[in-house]
Amino acid sequence: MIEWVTCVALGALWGLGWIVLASVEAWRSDAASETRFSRSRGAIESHSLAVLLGITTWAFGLIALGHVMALDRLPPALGWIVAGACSLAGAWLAWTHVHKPEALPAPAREPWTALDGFAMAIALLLLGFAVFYASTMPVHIFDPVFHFAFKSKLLYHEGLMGPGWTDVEGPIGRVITHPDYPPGVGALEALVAWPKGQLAIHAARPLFSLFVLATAGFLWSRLAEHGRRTAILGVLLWASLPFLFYSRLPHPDWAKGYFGLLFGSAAGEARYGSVLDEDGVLGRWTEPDGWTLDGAGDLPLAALFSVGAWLVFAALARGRSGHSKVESVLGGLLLGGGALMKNEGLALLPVALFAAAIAGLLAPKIHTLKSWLQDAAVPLAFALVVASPWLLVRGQVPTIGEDYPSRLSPAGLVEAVRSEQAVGFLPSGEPETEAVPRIVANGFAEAVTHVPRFGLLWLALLITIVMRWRTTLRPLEPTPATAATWAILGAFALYALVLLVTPWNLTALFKTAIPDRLIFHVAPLAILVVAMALAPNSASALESADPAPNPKP
Amino acid sequence: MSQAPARGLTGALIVTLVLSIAPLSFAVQYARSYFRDRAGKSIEGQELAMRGVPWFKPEYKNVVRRLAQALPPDAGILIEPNALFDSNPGGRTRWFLYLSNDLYPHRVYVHGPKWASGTLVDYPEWIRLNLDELDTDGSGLADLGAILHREDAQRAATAALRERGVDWKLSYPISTRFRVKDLALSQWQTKGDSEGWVRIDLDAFLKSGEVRVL
Repeated sequence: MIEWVTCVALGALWGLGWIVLASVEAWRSDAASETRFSRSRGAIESHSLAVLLGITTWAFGLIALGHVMALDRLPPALGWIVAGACSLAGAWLAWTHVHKPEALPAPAREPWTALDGFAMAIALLLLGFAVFYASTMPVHIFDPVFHFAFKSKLLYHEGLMGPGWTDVEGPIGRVITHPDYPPGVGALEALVAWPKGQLAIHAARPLFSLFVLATAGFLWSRLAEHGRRTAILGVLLWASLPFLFYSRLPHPDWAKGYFGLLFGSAAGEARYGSVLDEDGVLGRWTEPDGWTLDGAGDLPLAALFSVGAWLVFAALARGRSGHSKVESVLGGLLLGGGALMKNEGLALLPVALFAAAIAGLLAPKIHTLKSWLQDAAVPLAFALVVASPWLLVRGQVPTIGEDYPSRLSPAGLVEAVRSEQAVGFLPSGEPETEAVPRIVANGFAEAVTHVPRFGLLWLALLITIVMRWRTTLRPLEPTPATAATWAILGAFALYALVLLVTPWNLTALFKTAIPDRLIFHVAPLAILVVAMALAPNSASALESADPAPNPKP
Repeated sequence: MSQAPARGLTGALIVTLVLSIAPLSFAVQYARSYFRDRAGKSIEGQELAMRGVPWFKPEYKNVVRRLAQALPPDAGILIEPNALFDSNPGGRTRWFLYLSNDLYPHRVYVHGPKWASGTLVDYPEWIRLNLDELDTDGSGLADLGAILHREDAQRAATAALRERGVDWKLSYPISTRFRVKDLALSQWQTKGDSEGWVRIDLDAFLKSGEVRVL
């Protein structure tokens, strides 16, 4: 629910984000060294980056502060003052930055067609609904409540690493699900609590829509370079991604489920009768629902990782201009922010850098290995600095079963590949088993073809990769799109390995929309790759780091 | 600019628009249900209007609210199961987890916190530890291995509870429904040389905070 503290927190994170953005640009920009690769940053992209940078910086600061004190010791009045100062500074920076004549983006001069206008209106309607949806529903799903929001209580009342985090291994102790999940989401909720003087999880929920809006803004800005319709497609693909809003239809049968979606669960139930669940029990039709906007870490990670990775890919592709230095630092900061939201963010960090390296190595070399390593060290260093308040203690937090780094050993993988798991029961009553790799492969196949959750996004990506395999395998130069393609493939591979060794029963796990929630982390990157492949200047979009000028009407 | 990619772009935009009917329909249905059932209500009122969320059920929220008010602010409370009503208990029966979240900042403790904090894969082991090894249901039933461990486990648990200053204990049955009448509240009391858990009247405690020994 939107309360006044929601608005105060919004001002605090937007303002601080602008301070960070302007500081990095002032610090790293070197006008003299700007090359043909330099580009102006428009207002939409600047605001989007400011929001994501603000969230990252606050998460970093509050988690770091949690090392030395419980956050409820911060006076609420100070929260007001800090938020007010950030808001004013941000407003001044935004005003001066966006209104600098040289900072204005090259305006798209294409005429608006009826199709473009209609599609844009639908996209804006859905983005508005994302804000409404996030602002009008109590936090209520298991993972957002227990894995994420509970950590805001600990951070706020006990600080980091009090008994609430660690007293879980003796005969008696406290309960904390996934204690090794980073508390970035909790920090965002603690930020809202600061000026209020008490936790208000529901007042923080609306802030999750910022991840949707900021990602949409970034997609628009980067794709607008390749034509307005390309940008509209990208924003619409994102805003209409069903997984943002729900992960299941009211009925497991797709046709009936879509009927329930169109006309309501009650109408569906009245027409088709009750749902027969897996245990053979008749039950009510459900309301469509999902984790994404309820306060889980997946949406923050998807936004921060995808935007951060794209900035890093763009920076590494462009070489060493002043602007690429800025993008490199900003990208590193956001990748670090992703690592504070979910552990997968830390795992995706090397995936992103490997992807950039592969894209660079496959292309005719424009860098030496030494210079590439030097360039890649910048975002890596900034990401690790941002993640450091959590990394410093993560090793001391009990892992409770999901210790993937130790499970991902060669021996662990060999054992997993050879193992089987129960997937159901045979008519004889005996458990039906299947090889674990096959269960994992089926899980991914089901996820990428799950139209009610992702539309045709993954299928479109698959077609793009197949049709552009030459570009992917042998790009003319190491472009962001090529690196993003490798990052998406790398993320899929990483998550497949993790699922091979998970201690969970996979059949039970897949009922909670895994691996869908995992591949969602790279959905914005997939949208960028697909939209660029369809752009009128697609050859340039995919094969060059330097976008071609907009086509003339 | 070639024609093919432009056609592809337009086609993709049209297909995406068609597919956006589903989330748009969801938006319409959601807005209708929001304005019909929840608009204008407090957070608690909205939570009560949502079905299917165990920790929003009125009987549970009522107990939690009154228990939080009646317990001393710095109290630690042990939550343990006292019966198994579901033969195949699922995730929705983990009332200790919900209580830990909803009674916070009161400190909630459990036996075997590592199993309690784990995934559903670990839940059966937590139930076994409580009901079989520690005999929290008082049935005395268990396999020989559990019985052999019982005395040591109970002694270790008591020592750990005293070390943490946990003076309250709430027992509940493992069941999908939150069975208020089967809850049992106990307080750690010392009388002369003897000390131990003493069952107290839950109703009186929830109503007025009065500690009335049963």
